Amino acid sequence: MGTLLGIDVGGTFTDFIEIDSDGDVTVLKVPSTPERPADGVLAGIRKLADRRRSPDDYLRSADLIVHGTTITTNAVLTRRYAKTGYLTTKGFRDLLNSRRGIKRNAFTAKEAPPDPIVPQYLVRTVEERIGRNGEVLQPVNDADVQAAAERFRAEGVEAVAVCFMFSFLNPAHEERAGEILQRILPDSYVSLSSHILPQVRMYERGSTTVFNACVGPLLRRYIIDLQRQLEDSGFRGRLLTMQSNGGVMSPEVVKEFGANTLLSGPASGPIAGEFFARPHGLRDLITIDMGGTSLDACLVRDGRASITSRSEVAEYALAVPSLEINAIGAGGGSIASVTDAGMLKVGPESAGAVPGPAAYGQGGQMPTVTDANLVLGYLNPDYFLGGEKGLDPELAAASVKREIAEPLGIGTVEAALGIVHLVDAQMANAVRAVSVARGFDPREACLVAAGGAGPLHACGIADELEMDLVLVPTSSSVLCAAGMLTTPLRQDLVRYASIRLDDPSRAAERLDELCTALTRRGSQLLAEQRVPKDKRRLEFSCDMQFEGQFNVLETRVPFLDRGRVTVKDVAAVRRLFEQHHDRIYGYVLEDATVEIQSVRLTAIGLTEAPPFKPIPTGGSDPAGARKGNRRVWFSAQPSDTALFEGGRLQAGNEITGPAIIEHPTTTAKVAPGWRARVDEIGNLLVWRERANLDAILKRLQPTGALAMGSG
Amino acid sequence: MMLITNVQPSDAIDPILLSIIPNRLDAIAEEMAQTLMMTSRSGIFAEARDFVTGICDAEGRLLAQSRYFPGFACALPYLIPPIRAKYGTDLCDGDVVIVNDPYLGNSHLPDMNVLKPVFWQEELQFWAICKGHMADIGGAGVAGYDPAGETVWDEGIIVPPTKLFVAGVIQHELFDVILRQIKLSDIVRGDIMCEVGGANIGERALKALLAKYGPRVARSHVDAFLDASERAMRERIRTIPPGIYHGEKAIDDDVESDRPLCVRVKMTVGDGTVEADFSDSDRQSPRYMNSTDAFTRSMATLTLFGILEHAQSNHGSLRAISFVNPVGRCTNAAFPGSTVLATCTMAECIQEAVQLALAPAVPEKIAAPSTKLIFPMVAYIHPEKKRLDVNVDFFFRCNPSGGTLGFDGWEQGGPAQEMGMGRCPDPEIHELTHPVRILEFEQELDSAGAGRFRGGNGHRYRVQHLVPSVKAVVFGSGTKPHSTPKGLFGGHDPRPSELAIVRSDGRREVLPVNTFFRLQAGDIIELREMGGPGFGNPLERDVERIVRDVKDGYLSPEKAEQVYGVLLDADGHLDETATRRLRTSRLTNS
Repeated sequence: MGTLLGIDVGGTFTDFIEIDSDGDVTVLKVPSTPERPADGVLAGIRKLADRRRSPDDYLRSADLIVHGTTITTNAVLTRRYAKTGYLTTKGFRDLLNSRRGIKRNAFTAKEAPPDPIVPQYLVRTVEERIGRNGEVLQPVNDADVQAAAERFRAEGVEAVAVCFMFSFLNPAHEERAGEILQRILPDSYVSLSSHILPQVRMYERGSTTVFNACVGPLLRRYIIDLQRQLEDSGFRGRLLTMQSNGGVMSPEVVKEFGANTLLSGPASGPIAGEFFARPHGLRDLITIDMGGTSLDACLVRDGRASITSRSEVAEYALAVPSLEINAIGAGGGSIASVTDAGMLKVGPESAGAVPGPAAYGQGGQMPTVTDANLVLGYLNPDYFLGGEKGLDPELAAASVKREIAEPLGIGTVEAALGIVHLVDAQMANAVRAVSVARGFDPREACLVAAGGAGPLHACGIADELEMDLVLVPTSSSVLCAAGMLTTPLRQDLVRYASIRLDDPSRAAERLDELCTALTRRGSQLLAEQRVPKDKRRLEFSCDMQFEGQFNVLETRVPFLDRGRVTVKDVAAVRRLFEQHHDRIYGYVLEDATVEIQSVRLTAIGLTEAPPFKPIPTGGSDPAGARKGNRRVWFSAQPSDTALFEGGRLQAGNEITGPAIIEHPTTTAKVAPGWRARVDEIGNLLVWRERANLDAILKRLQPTGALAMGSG
Repeated sequence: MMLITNVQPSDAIDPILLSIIPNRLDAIAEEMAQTLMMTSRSGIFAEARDFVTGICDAEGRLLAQSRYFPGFACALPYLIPPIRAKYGTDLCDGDVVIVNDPYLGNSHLPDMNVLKPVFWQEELQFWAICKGHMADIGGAGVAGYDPAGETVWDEGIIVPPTKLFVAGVIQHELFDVILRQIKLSDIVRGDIMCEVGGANIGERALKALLAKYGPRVARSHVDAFLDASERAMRERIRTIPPGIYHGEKAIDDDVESDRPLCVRVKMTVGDGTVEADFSDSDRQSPRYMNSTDAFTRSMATLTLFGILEHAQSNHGSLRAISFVNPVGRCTNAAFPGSTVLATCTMAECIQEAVQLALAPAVPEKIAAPSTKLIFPMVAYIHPEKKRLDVNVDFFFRCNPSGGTLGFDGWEQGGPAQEMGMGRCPDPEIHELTHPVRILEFEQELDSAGAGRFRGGNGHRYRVQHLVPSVKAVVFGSGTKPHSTPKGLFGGHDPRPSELAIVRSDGRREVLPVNTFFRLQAGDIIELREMGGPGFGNPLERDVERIVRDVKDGYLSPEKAEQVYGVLLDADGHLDETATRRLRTSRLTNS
């Protein structure tokens, strides 16, 4: 196997992890280039190449690049959508705008609905109608489509979403409208709802299609640019992109299904966290990834990050499967300030990569979390980003003093400690939102702390939440990039079925037909993405209901991948559904007919687990990695604190806090009262010193889990 | 997420558990709600979310409640005393009690309540409760709605607290008797079972919570949390200047005659306390326009929560509110009066009376009242299922709300009893469920009540029925000027709603509310819904919002000029100078 590259294009930094054919891992961070994100990717690749003997051949030896992009996320956060028009059936103009009548909070009138992505004057209707059985009730009035297209052109629309009544049963009208639109607006990005999400419910389908259209043009430009630049540099391997559901997809799919990339970057964080925690028998985790601008928190229960098909993005319904991740504006670049009311405030504004923290000396005047960390001695001014980015402690201190300490009438160190405590508390709140708010006690989970800034704040967050154990993954600063290399290829397919199980032979026949068709399509998609036969997995599920129910329950039906569905299988399908229905909803309607509304296939292409090489084993004494002492403030009084070089630590080494462990791209803080141990591949397990690590692990491991390699 | 910040520290209280336990109870109520929403056989739960789930403790104190159908804010605890009176300690693990008797803690017959006692070590700890509107409840009307009915006996089957399950065993004989009274027995059987499922889910999760923390710890943290809620509620009430405030609102009529039926309330605000006194309301209607004591209290509580932006539906909040509501008034009907319209027309009326009472006290908090509902229900023979079905069409319920200082009304923010928590159906699901074709569901030009903050736009809804009706009824209010919601502080009232039938030969018949009617195949029901009322003087409305409404097609240039004093050229561009001149002269002349 050749070189594998995981690349996470974030808002501030673009992260790289390279695993070469020997299993050697290289980690790199370069500033992102938001104006043209592909440039940052190529700049990082050039840097990696320059470390090789023959840099020009570097990309030729690369087999696989998996990358995540925040293009879509940033478009949402900044509301920078393509100007989008919406074309729908006559009589249904206001369906999206009315938002199904749902308000966020019942008990307040002081709230406005979010601004629609498509302003109302760009919603145009077309005379056409498909009926409930897919029959044509009224043909498409081409003149209406043409008039709408002309209007869109006059208004400078870049993307058009089309959603007609019952198009999931008969896409002909949408396809006809698509042709006309594409003819009149050849440069526009057209998304048809029957293509993006062929399933019942016009509101959710339309909303998802609008979302797909409004991020589509930007994403398509970016992917084409990236593909071209990579090819020009000699890359002949596979380029894959992370999607929100925790799988990866090919560039061709990305260009069409932009709605799937909303969590393209962050989705791999929980997957990587699970990958690193698994050898320790830890199954319940809270992963946090703190970068320059934001923090992503996710709850992993029993080894799985939860996936939802009913998500909302900035309050717009989005009916594509995605991981449940909570993002807040708190990162190393978050700006600290004093409000009019005399209160200290941190974030959500970020100094980004430019001008960046005051300490960058690039003109940033406002102090950031990074500046506070520098003032307190947590960060090494000469070793930020492996020494490539010099930090100026005096600029940081001056900025903290001027903007925070003086207005509040306190000392500079006190002000810096205040900034750090406040951001820790904010991040703890983000963790509460994914755990406590769902009734899950964070004290029963391990905190997986990653991102460039995460390992510095992990102990503080754990203190707030009374969590006993923190795992700082090796290559923590590029957790998501690492996660991408552990992620399988994943494609979700769905077919409308409408099968009643009370006629078993007919049901078996129909189910067999659908499964055969899905298997063919799924295998074809995997083949197109060059997945070898023995790495393909087909996971079937059925959306089922008791006759008359309004909603369906998706139930895994593992045996459908065997092919040849029999009458006996139909009875088994019913049993699976009943058990699932009872577990989730607390009852079964014993004499009601069961119906299958849709059959779903998740086609998975297994990727090989990245071959992380074990690090050398040593004793508990970490002296070999010791590189001196520094004055560090954990409280108003400085303490002379031990410094360690992360790369020289050996498996089994133990470090008692207070201590600072420096890696080229991240710094970990072992706070007073905490203790750390290095595991086989270089992850740090950090726990409360007063407790015993094995006892903590035993408490957090699910009963019966096999604990391996915990030191 | 709830953040609990105002708790007195105590040794026994773990501050993290104090967040976790109440949040866990909320999460359990929500999980129960998911069962109702996701597994119901009627659009009432599945699409419109006309139900609520919650948890009471053994004494019947409300601890948590899901957010659906806010009209039931704090309605659940009224169910517990009659059950305790009947069964005392004769309850055990696996029992499930059902009840819909309006005179034993309920609202109206169609709301069927399922309550499961949750035991831990043989001691009653909690009640897991589901309350939801059934697709039918028998009787002579349609789905329990009978404008000719004079008593609760006419509405349908009355179930006093009764065990549907005894120690985990379903009582089939009893269930068969109940279902035999009900026309849509398949749907109702499914939906009562779905409420049982919701209660089972609640029970499982509550037992897991007790297994983890034990009843003592759970109890002490619940107590501390209720105290915190009470303090928060009293703090909020202290933002209303103390005093006595009167409000009243009438509906179209009392159904039997043209006499408008009026709810009158006297709100007495003290130091962190509120008393709502309904003594002066009209005597009860001889037909179905009445509320029950439990539901009147619940609506008044909900309205206060809305004004105070306080969302903790629990016993602690309730301690700050008291009621005077004598029997025999339309707000507390005497047995055996009919109360079917409690949760709809009466709810709207109770809310508006409370809002109008408090408007002068807290003008910056109050919203112009929500719009009034007109709702047809059509029974027909389903062509594929070959049996009776009822089209409960919630597109008729997508009502706009009123403006408030700083914010326009929402296009579907009402009706009053739902506060924007109900959900508009999906048009495809609706056509797949019933033999109808939706011709139009769009917001209507110039329908919003004008104001500095306008009301939401009203809808024009046209739906064609493809099969004839067996029986059809329309209920509601809001077809007369006195019953439309009032604009506040210079904001305009909307025009009344109008319901009509367009026959296949093109004839258009305006349909009076609270009557039976008939449909032939191909007839179209057409609603021109009222908009929401406005808040504040329209001449003070932000010009940009007016220009946008014109561009979006919700406001005509004519109305922009006449009502808002805004002049636009033929291309829709603002004529700034002329507008400024016109608005100034009108403001000084008014």
